[in-house]
Amino acid sequence: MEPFNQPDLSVHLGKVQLANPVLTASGTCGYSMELRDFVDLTRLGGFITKSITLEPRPGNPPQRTCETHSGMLNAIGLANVGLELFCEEKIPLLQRLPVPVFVNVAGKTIEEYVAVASRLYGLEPVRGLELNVSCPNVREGGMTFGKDPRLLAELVRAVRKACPDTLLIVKLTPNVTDITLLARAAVDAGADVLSLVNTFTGMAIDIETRKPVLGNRVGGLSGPAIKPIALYLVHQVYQAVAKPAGIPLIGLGGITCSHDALEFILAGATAVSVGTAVLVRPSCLVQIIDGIQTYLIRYRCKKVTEIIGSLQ
Amino acid sequence: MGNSIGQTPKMPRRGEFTARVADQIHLGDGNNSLLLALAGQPADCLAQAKAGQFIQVACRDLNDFRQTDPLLRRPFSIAGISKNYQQLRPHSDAKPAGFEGLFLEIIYRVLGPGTAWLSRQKAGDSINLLGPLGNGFSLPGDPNEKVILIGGGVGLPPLYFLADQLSQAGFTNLLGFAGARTKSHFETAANLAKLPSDPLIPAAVLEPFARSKTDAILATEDRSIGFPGSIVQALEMFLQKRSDWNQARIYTCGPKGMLKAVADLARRHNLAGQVCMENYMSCGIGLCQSCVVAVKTAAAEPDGTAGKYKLVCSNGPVFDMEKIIWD
Ligand SMILES: Cc1cc2nc3c(=O)[nH]c(=O)nc-3n(C[C@H](O)[C@H](O)[C@H](O)COP(=O)(O)OP(=O)(O)OC[C@H]3O[C@@H](n4cnc5c(N)ncnc54)[C@H](O)[C@@H]3O)c2cc1C
Ligand SMILES: Cc1cc2nc3c(=O)[nH]c(=O)nc-3n(C[C@H](O)[C@H](O)[C@H](O)COP(=O)(O)O)c2cc1C
Ligand code: FES
Repeated sequence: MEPFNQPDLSVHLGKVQLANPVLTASGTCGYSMELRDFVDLTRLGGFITKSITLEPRPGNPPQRTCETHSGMLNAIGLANVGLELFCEEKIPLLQRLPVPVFVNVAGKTIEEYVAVASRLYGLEPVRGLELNVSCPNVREGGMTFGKDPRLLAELVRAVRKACPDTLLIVKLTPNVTDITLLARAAVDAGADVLSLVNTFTGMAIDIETRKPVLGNRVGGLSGPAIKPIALYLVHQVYQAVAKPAGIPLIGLGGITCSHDALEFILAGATAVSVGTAVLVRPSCLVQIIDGIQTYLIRYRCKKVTEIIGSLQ
Repeated sequence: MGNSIGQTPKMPRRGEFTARVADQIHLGDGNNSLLLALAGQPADCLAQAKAGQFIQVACRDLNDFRQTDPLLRRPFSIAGISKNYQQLRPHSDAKPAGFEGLFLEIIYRVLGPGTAWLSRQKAGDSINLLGPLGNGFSLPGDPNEKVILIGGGVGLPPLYFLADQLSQAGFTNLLGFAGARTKSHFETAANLAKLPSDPLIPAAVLEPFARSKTDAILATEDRSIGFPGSIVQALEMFLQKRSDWNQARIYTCGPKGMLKAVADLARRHNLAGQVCMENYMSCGIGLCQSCVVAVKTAAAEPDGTAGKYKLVCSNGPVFDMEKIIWD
């Protein structure tokens, strides 16, 4: 077989191997079944679920999303079925997915995160946990876990202790002054992988009613509009933290095509997640995988790992 | 169903398809009818669509990655489906050449960037869509039942399709109530010469209903034609006059205020029915949780609320009328 026609797309997130570097992003891909008529899920590198919380959450009042120039705002409010129903109804469906599954976990207190993480620990088919730390901590005056290095470290340590050998991904919020401080705090506290970025806080106003468009007033911006900023943050974290510490990154924010995904990989991401673009066209996930392969063939690379962080 | 995940089922219920524009006509008051042509497996799949289901249309070229606006797809109800071009375009002389398979109609009002883009598409242009999505109306069990279809503005298209499916299922007692802002909304579709002098007398005045043997009553808010006022008032007065219709099943689609008024009326008159909701959507396929509507549940929910959010795109857009919590 011609080696250059079959480049090796597999990558490792810690001890978990992915067949290729393309994952779904949390909250934009449901629990997988929703997508199956629109994309061949067996092709994915991995699947990341919607955030799961200890109790079911109805979510924010509508309007929950709003389109912006090349992007969208969302304030879903972590609407999800809750841990028990997730284990009962969604886990059996995820078991049928022949790709690694990562469950995204959110909470209002450290105890909540730990309770969810412990219940999911070792459960088939969960290959790892992704901590959504863009949530306010109700015990600490609403301070977002992911904005305070001390709080973040405390959270990561607590989950690490409860789940000693699970793959622990910490998903960073970009709404901070220096993201490398948070990245370092997470790694020092035991994170195996960092994913970045979550959404950028933003808002939209209806000038006729003079009210915010979103029921929650503010929301998170995602989609192509954020890509250059997300890419820069991945670049920063790779150079300052991930590369020296040997920690893999999952890059995301505005990826819609293989060109975008390759930019993140060149900047240092071992894998990428696709969110908003999947809402528009689920099949873009497969196009991205195929496009990465074509690129590797064009540059006669035997493995995708050759190009990770190969920015000149 | 029962396919294991990832396997491509033989005949998928729905999917991502490319359709071609067969033609597009102006209907008046900023409304257009777009006729899409589908062939092969996409046609087989969409041929199964039920009234009330919708499609998610990409209002840009998805393969040009520099085009990112409008970012999200736009949802449109299916207004009609037929293998026969003439059924959807009774006034056109001939089928445009080069289109075989299935024709799917959407009727839309030009409002913003998405619908403006759609209005610029010409015969032969490609349109990427997801569909058919959501759950359609459920038809009454007995074809002798009387059925009222009441809609306003861009809520009318799914009811045109419903009239077609009811009539094909053997229903003969169908009555349409069509509301609009002004007369020009009905410019091309209505045969205004046939309009009875009493606006509450049903007649074969509205072509998309008339082709399914459904008489209609019209109302305009600016009082320019038909019943002067809201279509719900027209229905209320009609039911007072015509006790033979006071067991009718009601199907409705339109702006939220109108749907609420119809649901109120149905409750007061003890009529059962279904609403087709048109909430703001981002994905249309159950991924993002944007499109929620509060529905009543049997018991109070664990969070203390009396109801529960349901997804309009996947649990609906059709719901039993009495289940919706309107405020
Ligand atoms: C299930 C469903 C079926 C629909 N069927 C039809 C149809 O058959 N024909 C039709 O003309 N329209 C229909 N709509 C509404 C249609 O999707 C919107 O009019 C369209 O998305 C507007 O896009 P735009 O880019 O042109 O305008 P935008 O700039 O996106 O919006 C223009 C204006 O329309 C309002 N609007 C946007 N989306 C919606 C919505 N979902 N419901 C109500 N108002 C909205 C906005 O608030 C704004 O004021 C349907 C909506 C849903 C959810
Ligand atoms: C509708 C919506 C819901 C989301 N829900 C979650 C969530 O539950 N948990 C989470 O960690 N991130 C959530 N996100 C953030 C995405 O996972 C992702 O970080 C962000 O959207 C940037 O990537 P994108 O531009 O590819 O969408 C959500 C994003 C959107 C648009
Ligand atoms: S529109 Fe995304 S879940 Fe309904």
